[in-house]
Amino acid sequence: MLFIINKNSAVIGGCIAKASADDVVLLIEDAVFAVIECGESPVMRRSDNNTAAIYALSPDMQARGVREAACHKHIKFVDYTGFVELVVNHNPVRSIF
Amino acid sequence: MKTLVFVIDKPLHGNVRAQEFLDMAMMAAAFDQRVLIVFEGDGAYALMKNQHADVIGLKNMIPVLNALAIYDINDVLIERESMKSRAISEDQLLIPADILSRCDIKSRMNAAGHVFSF
Amino acid sequence: MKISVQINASPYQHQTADTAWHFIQAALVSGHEVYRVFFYHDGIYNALRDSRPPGDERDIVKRWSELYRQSNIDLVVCVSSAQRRGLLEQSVAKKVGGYDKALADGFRIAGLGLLMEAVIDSDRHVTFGD
Repeated sequence: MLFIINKNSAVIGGCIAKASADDVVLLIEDAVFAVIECGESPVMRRSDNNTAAIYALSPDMQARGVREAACHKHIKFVDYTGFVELVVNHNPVRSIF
Repeated sequence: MKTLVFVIDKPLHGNVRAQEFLDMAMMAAAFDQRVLIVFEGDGAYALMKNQHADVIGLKNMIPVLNALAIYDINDVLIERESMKSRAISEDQLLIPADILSRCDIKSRMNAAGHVFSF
Repeated sequence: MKISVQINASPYQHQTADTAWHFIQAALVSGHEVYRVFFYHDGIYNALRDSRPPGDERDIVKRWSELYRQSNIDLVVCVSSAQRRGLLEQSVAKKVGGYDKALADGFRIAGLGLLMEAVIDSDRHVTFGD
């Protein structure tokens, strides 16, 4: 399943907690703030490593001044073309608001 | 035929979105798709008895929830963890729903063609 | 791949319409078919012809109309969402004495059935909202 999350809220943590290794979480719009490495973050990798890949939409990061260098190391970055590829490669798609 | 999941993860009141969301589910059923409605998170409150939306001038959603069965939407699931953390017991539920664990609901969703939310 | 898009939020109030537009452009460039864009809930406000943003801002409504002109993508506004919010289809507006020129070029107003048809016929459906 591809989760698409667009807010920097508790939804991110809840979603990552229930996502499994074959799921993918894409953070867009204001949700990209969650990937900045700072203290306790919902996107921190779980110790068991059995966790979903987390992507952030880079144009939304650039718009908000979020630099890749400031992000957690395991975060992957995609542009809109990469967003489309994630949609094509995963089913079902679930946007969470 | 596709399996379409409709997730209600927020309360139903205060705006028209939930009503329009359930319209989608009923339309999907009218198109002979397999429809699953899932209540989780604060959406679990939507299934509680003793709702009186008319007190604040809103349309009563209870007849819509009751009508789901008429549209052959009988797969109504509610997440056990969401009920537990909100102190909602089975006898407080407005319509019959299958109480499933987060994990079970997740695997039902994984098998779906699409998951709708609002 | 055949992809459908649903837009649930009004323009300008939220980034929804922008993200969806960029997504659609990327899908088209990558060679995918965007079968239909369905405007639901407050998303119907994307179809208001008389939207006039300041000259130095993106014109979201015009951008949709241009998308239709260039790519012929079916832009469908949900009739019940639209009527509830004061956007009437021309024939209905004439009948009830309402404003009959509200709908921007390239859009059509139709029922929720067209959303379901798109979801059923497409390989993927992506919802954008607030």
